[in-house]
Amino acid sequence: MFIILSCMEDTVTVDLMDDGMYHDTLYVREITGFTYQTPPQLGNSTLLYFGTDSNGFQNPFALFRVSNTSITTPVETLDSFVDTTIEIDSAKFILTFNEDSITTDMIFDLFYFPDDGDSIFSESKSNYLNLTENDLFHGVFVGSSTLSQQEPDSLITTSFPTLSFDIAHIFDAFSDTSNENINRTVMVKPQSNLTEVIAFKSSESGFTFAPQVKVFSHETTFVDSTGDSIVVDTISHTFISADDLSIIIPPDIIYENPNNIYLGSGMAYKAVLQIPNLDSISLPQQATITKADLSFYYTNDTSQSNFYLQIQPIIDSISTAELQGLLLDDPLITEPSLIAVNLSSNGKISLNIREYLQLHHFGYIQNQGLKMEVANTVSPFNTYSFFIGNLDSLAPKLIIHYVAP
Amino acid sequence: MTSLCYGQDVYSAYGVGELTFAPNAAVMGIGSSGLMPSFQENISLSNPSTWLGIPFAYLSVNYGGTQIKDRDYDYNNVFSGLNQFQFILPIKGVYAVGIGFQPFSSQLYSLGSDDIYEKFIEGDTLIINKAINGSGGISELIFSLGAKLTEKEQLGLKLEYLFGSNRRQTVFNIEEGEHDLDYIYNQRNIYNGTLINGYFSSHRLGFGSRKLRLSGSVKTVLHSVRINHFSFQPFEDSNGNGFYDVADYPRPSGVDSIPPAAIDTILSNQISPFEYAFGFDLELTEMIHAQGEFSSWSDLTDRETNLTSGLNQRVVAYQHFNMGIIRFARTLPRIWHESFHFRAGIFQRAYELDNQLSSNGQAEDYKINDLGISIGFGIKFGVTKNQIDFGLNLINRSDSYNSDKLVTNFNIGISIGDLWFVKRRVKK
Repeated sequence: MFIILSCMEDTVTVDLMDDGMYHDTLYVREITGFTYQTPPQLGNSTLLYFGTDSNGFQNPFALFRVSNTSITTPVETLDSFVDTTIEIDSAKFILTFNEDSITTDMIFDLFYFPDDGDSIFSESKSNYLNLTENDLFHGVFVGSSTLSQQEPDSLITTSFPTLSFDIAHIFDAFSDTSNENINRTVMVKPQSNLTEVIAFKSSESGFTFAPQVKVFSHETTFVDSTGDSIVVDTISHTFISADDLSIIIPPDIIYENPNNIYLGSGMAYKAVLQIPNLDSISLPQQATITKADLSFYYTNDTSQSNFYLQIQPIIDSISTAELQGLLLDDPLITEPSLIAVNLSSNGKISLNIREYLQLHHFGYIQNQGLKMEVANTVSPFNTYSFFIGNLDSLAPKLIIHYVAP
Repeated sequence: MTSLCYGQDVYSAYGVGELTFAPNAAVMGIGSSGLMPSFQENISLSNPSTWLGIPFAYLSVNYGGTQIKDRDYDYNNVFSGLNQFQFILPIKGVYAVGIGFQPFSSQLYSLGSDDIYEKFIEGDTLIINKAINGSGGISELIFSLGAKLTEKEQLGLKLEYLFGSNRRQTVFNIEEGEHDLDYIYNQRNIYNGTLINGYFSSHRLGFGSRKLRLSGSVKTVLHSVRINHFSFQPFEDSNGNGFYDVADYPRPSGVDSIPPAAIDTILSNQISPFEYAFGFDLELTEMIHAQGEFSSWSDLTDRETNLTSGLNQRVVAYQHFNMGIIRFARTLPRIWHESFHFRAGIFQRAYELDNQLSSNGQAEDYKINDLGISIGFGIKFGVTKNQIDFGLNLINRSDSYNSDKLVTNFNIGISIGDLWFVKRRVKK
């Protein structure tokens, strides 16, 4: 037919039952796993911790590296404050408390490092084994502060308590462009031991409450031939911390039930999950996975089990022997774009790993296992465990839903 | 599962679609398959063994349409298209050649289920629904040759090169809780193959002064019809726009995420038509002829391989029979109505369908029966016997499920004649 002009109007009856595409499910069992441990690293945590937890976790200090560029407009750099026409009215380093009311009157001290380079710590690599208080002994004391809270304003908006350090007198150290070794790192630690853990918001919690340097300045300009200057309005500039990290020291506890896997960011327990049957499951060649639920059962009191868990495919092969003992670094390389995150609920957690399975089915990714850990929003002081042994209904299982021609 | 169809009849979704029976208006007017002369006296546009008597070269174009009205299910579908393009060149009354273009089959359907299928999996309820859409068809490029065997016998040969493609989309809807997503599976078939059709005509016999013309033809496969089938990766239409784009899953872009290329399968010997036909044309008076034709078409493929583009059913055979009467226009009309051809007939066509995927795994046949009447007329005009034709079929179609379906076909054709291979006088 060369040309088809059609007018489509009404309906007829036909049997579509056996035609075209179908939906089916596959159950995959015999999922195995084991726990491995690295030094705890809270660089991606949304909170910064101080004090000692009842389980024995210690959080002695936190480090911050302030960004050179402001997040406020007009955008300024710390370097620009060298300009002699700008006068600093005040400069504060501010931390925002994670609770909406003050529960402690502890005093915190602020230190800076004028004589060191800008590589005192790494947000993603520093931990209690490679960075101790002894390594930071040359920190110069800046000042102390206690938590304070503003009264709610007329709009009845509650402000979080803050810890505010005056840094005006050392501000030149942050803006001095003549110093090739310029260092914008500061350290905060409690003046005395805290018997409880308190938390402040980190830069991962968003711009509004990120640790920040707040500078109030005004500019002077010459307006006539007499050389008189006038003062213009005071402007505030905010420079948030680009990197921040609280160091956590885990207690000497060992969890070693072989039927369980353990997870917790404070203990730095992570797990490797293996699905050996994945390579032999019989998915049709053109199957498109609609859902792939990987589910686990929590071993402890289900009322405490609401937490976020994440899973990522491992992209390099690694032997179990290489993951024994306390490792100094995490050797597993994962595919970050295929992360699956979900909230544990009622003692069970389900993760949709269909993208991983689909790409494995296409042959783009190998079945090297899955790395499992708690998400960065979860309290590091909890340790979670899941059944991994073959315990029938409580064993981990994978249900794959797919459609195929 | 009860379903809905938009487009042509549901038969359009079977196999390669609706087969074309009457590509031009003259054939439609008598209700035949084109073997016996209906265009003009002793001339059929579809039978090259009748072209030797054509006085002029003809360029013929036909446009047709179909209306399908189902009173049982209260639907009324209409579609239309250009049906046939043909050029015929007689050479000194000894040979004739032709080249033409016409549809072999066509598809246009949209089948949507109004029934649902529920699945219960690990405490979840999945509600599944399905729709199937398709369009396309196979066309024929036809090369024809007619030749005189004796003064009263003629031969004809047709080579029909089949080509074309169709697309099919299966939409699989899965509803789970508040989530309602379509999973779309696209397929494409590209067809090619060649049929050969031999014709024989004779007017050696007669009843006294009444001439009797007999014709027969046999059609078979010269180069088996091959289907290049492309099966595309099904995708989740995440943004619900019906197209495969970056918002869908699996993502069609990005490193190591693009679905594998479509699976290309070559299916040989998928359609293997064999047809034989014979008929007569009896001159009752100088202008009035009675005609009859019988043809039997069957698909000789092994039927073990499913056609991958249709529904479960496919047409595997049909028989056509028609009787009709034509009053041809007079060669040199004396009054106005002698420039008209009038055609009328009745016909019956019985289809045999093979259900390829019945629930018990056995092929099950069912039959469709067409009973129709046809009328038509043609107007001859001009020195070169130009002609405008109109044909109409009214068909009652019945099958195992439905007995009250009315199919109306119409066709309009225009044929322009010209004189070739003649030395024209130079105008002074």
